[in-house]
Amino acid sequence: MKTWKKVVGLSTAVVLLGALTACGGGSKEKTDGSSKKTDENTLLMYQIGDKPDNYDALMDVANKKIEEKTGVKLNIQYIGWGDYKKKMSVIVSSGENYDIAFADSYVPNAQKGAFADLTELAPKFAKDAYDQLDEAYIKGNLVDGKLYAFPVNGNVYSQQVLTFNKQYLDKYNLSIDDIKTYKDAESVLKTFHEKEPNIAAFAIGQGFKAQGDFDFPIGNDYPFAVDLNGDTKKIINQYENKDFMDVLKTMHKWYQAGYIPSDAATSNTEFPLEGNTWFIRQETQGPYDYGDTILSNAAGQELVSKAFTTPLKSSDQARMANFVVANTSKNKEKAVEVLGQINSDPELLNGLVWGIEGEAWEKIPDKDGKIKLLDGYKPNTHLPAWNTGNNKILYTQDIITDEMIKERDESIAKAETSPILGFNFVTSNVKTEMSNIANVMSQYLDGLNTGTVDPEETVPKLKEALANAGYDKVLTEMQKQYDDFLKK
Amino acid sequence: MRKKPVSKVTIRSFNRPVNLFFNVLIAVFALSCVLPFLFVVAISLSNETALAAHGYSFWPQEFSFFGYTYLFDQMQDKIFQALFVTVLVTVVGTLINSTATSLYAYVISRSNFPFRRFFTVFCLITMLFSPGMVANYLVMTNLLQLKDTIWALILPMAVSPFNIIVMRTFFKRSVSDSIIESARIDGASEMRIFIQIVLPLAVPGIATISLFAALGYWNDWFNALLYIQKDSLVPLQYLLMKIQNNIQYLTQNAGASSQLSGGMAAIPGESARMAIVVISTLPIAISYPFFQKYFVKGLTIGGVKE
Repeated sequence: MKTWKKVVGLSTAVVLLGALTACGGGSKEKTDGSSKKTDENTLLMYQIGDKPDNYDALMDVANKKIEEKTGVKLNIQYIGWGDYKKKMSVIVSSGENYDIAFADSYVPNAQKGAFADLTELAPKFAKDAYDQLDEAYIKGNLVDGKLYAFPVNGNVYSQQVLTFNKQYLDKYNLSIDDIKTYKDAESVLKTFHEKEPNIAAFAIGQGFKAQGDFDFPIGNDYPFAVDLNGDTKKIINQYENKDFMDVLKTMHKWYQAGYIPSDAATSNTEFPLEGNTWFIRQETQGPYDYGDTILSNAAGQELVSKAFTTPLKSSDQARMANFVVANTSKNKEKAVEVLGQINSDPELLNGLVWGIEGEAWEKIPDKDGKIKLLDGYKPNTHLPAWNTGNNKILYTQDIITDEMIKERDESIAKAETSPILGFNFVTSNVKTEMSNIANVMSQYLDGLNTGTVDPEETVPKLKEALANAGYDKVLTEMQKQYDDFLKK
Repeated sequence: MRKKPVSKVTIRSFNRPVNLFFNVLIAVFALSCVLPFLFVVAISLSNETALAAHGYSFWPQEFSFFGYTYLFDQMQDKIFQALFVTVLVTVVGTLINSTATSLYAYVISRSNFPFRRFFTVFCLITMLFSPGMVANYLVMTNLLQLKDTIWALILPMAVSPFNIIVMRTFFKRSVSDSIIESARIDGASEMRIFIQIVLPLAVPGIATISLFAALGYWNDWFNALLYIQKDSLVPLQYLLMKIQNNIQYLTQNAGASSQLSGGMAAIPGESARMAIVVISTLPIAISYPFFQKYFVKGLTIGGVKE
């Protein structure tokens, strides 16, 4: 009895206290919140990834430069890789106030009107940076003829490569000179698997997609593709395409031979680049990877890649790292100005991407745009290049020669542009069918792509399930929209 | 048909084979609950390379405390901060939740309370219709301005309608009107009746809903995902979820860009992740036995009429 009285008394007291502090805290928060909002001079930017350990130091340097030029400061809020999608969708649908964000689901959100229209703002307030963008970036990001994003100028084209762990190539004396397709890699895989049966020969897991010369109007989770080696005016189902079928058969053969981990369809096992738990992996590379330089750097060991698709400027690449300005933002012009500065001011951008000058790196005298890394260059003390700003104005280390840079620019000029660059499929008439198709695909994707199931048996089943889901209706609609798009 | 002579009356008991069958069934069920956890413990004590080579096993192939040492070397500040937040939220939240729930439930359990029907329906409606995430988000951030405060982790779960209904039935069953009547005749006030007479009788029920609440708070990570951005307020479960989500994102986008992997911070290995799971589940698992004795009485929504 007595003790209960005490407990109840105590808990009531706690609750009351809680209520008080809640109100107190709430009101304090209110003033904070409103001061944040009324603080006209700080722009809020959401960015994907992990906050760097020395964020404050980095931003101190950067904000000095930004404030000098634009009169505002930048505050970057980081949201983790895996949480970004969820959190941004809540922020967008609740109409919360922010200024700049790394775009998530760019096209649907742009169609909804969540982002500010930058068609006129970008060339006006961020002229320098805008002029440096490859044309494919603009074309690939137009939604209903308007530009809603400021893309990061970087890997405008990409190609799929098979990346080999060089330590094993040397150890077992394997040659990869004439590998141009998945099939060509079979003999090295075989040799390797005999020697090292416990190491993942072809290291893939859940979410892996077998690749070919295709581009996908709504992403490769869906069975809609354009065959780049065939009739590019037609949208097809890649699972009905002979070349792709051969690729799937190859995967299945590899799976049965044990080159692919037996739990690939469901596993989230990581195969660290720097590790030795893998022999071949699939990667995507573009011009700013300078061959295998960036990859080998990230791995801390030498890796060799062989491309098996043609370099392609696709919508995916154009939207790789888009920055958008919120429609709810009160400082749209300033936001564009800041984006423009990040993408055109080498001092500012390199201070973010390489870290703090003098601590992490220093310029090499009399060599323009070349730097030397110092001991202070540590992981997580600088921002990633691909989603920060214009790669073209980044300083390079000495290992990147002038030839490489020349080659990079030539390869960009040479790369093929995807026929569907800038094509956005409007799903409003076929919403039900689309979600049916998504459900069907989620059952089959991982099994087929990782070679776990036999494509000869499964693909017909997939086709049947797709037909029941209303595939033809969607295909007709997409083809119609695509024809209209091609006429323009 | 001759009737069998009755030798023994056994009410409320199964005959032997049936009894054995049910025992085996329950044992299998119990094992299926315990084994995964043992599995996790085993993985957390395994050597990372052995894991990659031999896969998982119930007995670690090669013992190593690397997972735990990694946690205490690399992530010490984060883990302890998160553990503190989780414990704080659980304790304060459980107190608030059990207080609010029992008060509400007691009031609507009393037959002489005039607005009984209204408040019962009011509570049921919140249970049956959920406004959806965005509406919740708007209330929490715009209306209450609770973004990035500890209250954002406590208040969304401060009252649970289902527990209110359970408690209401419990009060109705375990506290008869006659006791309340007689206390009233002896001159006790409403508050005194509740605290001195009703509560002691309802201890099993309160213990049960407190456990539910504590579990809910301990395991909650979604509110943290929505409302918490400060590192200092991240609870343990969300820390784990973050790591898991990052790994998933990375493997799903493996090969999306080599630059992506370059910009990633190091991710703890399998055994370290499982070590976090162990650390985050053990405390609440250990607190179970303390509530055990109340369970049998408390967990029935009840169908007995007086």
